[in-house]
Amino acid sequence: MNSFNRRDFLKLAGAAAGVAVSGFPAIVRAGEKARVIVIGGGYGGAICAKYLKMADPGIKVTLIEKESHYVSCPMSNEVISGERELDSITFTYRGLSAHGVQIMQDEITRVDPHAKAVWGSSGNKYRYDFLVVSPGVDYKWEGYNGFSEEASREKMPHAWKAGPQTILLRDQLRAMPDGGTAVIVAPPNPFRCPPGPYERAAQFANYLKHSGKTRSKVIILDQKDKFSKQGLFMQGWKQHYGNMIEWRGASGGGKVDSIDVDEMTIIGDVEDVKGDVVNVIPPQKAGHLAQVAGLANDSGWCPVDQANFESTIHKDIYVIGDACIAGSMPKSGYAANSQGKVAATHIAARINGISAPEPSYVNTCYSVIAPGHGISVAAVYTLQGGKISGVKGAGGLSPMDASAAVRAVEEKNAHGWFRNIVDDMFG
Amino acid sequence: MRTKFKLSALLVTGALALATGPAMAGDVATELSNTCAGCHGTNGYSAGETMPSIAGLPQGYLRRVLMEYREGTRQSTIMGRIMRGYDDAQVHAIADWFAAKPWKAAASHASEAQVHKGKSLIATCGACHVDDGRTGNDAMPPLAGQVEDYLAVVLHASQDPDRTPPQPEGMRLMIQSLSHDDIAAIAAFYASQH
Repeated sequence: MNSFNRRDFLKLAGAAAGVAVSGFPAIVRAGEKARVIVIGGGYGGAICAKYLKMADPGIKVTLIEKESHYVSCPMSNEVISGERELDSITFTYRGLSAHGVQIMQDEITRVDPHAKAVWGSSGNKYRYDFLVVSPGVDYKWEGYNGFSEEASREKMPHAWKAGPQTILLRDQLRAMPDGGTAVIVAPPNPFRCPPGPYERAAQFANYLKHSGKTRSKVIILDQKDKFSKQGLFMQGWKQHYGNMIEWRGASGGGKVDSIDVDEMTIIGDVEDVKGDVVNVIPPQKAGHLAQVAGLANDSGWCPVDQANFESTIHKDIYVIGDACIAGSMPKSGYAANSQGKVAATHIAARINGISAPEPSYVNTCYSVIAPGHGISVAAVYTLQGGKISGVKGAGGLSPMDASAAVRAVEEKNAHGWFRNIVDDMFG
Repeated sequence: MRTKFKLSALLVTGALALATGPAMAGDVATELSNTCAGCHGTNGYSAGETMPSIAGLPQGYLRRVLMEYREGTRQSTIMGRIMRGYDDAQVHAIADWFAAKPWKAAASHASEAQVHKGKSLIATCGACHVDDGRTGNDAMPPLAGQVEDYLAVVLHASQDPDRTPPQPEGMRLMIQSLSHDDIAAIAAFYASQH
């Protein structure tokens, strides 16, 4: 932007009025700019809508979300342990309205990429020039024999979308007697929030310790043999909760053969585990809308151009957040935030007929093991040979040998992270 | 960024056909700096807790601090890991982008009693941090209106004689004797100044 100043541009634009456009890729209708519809108001969609407006207030941006409020998955494990209430992780869309984003509460049931329109269960039809889909995850209910969506509703909550399921799981844990067993079935890769099940185990134990139910056990039955921040979690579990938390990897007895819902029992390859509380986190795939719209491939996830998140299946539709396949990036809230911004910049550039800058992506993810004990992982990503790849030498985990003071600062930073990322979305 | 897109739209609606391809490159500094907002708030204005506001800090200060994080000469929990992802030009682009924003005081919820106590403790601070911390320069950040918990975290960390980079000797010696409550009060005082 460098060689012209504003006045030069205005002069040029004025002088050129009336000259025919040939092959200019901008999308402009008479009297109005392009219309972008964003479906899904979470960590990806809310950010994308806001940053589209920040990039160019002239773009018409509509956010369509089926719920009236958003409940954050990050920090929901602290609701389960009683460290915070659900209110503190619940947000409205009023802030986005103030940025000029039109908010529609509707559930989109049909997408027609050729007609460039979507339909809601309200009966409304919405036309778009560009569509952004940020549908999060859906569950493969058939992933564990004997398990079902119905089983998750009351007996074995997943609590992998925050809200009523979070409260259900919290209340089940509170009702568990001392000496009881709480089981967490951790899903196979890839899934939303890789450190989430292990932070949850820590927050289960945090509740059990502080409520005096110290004879209780938390058993993680994992469908894989290693997990995110593993060394840091195991160190922290031991430090704060002794032997209360037991992790069984897939090949060490964690693998689920089937689930007996009535008996509250996980049938394993090696042995069966009966729980007083059984938190089954199912295997996952891209959110329902992505499947309906034909945006997912055989993997269950959505392939996208790694430079900008435009679907490689349907043009002018972008898929961001947990639903998309994004190279080395994990399915995390911060990754969705970063992807939403890259997509917003790209769409705004296309609408204005300029080229988008080289994409830049970041992930930062905190986990709270106990009050005063936080850990983190971070990465900076660039496009390398068409793939989103971590910059060598950057990023990584909190050190294993950090002092208690550093762990305490990281716990404060976890909460500061949360305060700011939700403000970035909804403020 | 906003101005640029508006201008570009003018080009199009004015039917300017200087080029057949994209007219200009997008804003690299904004693309890089947007990634910071998830922790430091939109445009670098922090919503609080321990994350500092970085919008409007002095350019030379930001450049130096970000470089020190990257080189490992400034202690951090996570900033070193992140800054190692950027080359010199990118670090400068990010620093300059935030430095160009106006400084705005973060919301302060400090109690009057805390602020009053803090004011009674900052006589020596004022020798360098003049005008109740409202003035910053490339060597020294402004304190007035910075996020309270962040100021407290930095003061606690600065009590460690081995912290890098070392504080100026006078400051290090002065803060050695501060209690936890003293630090909280000083942080509350500076955070409350606008």
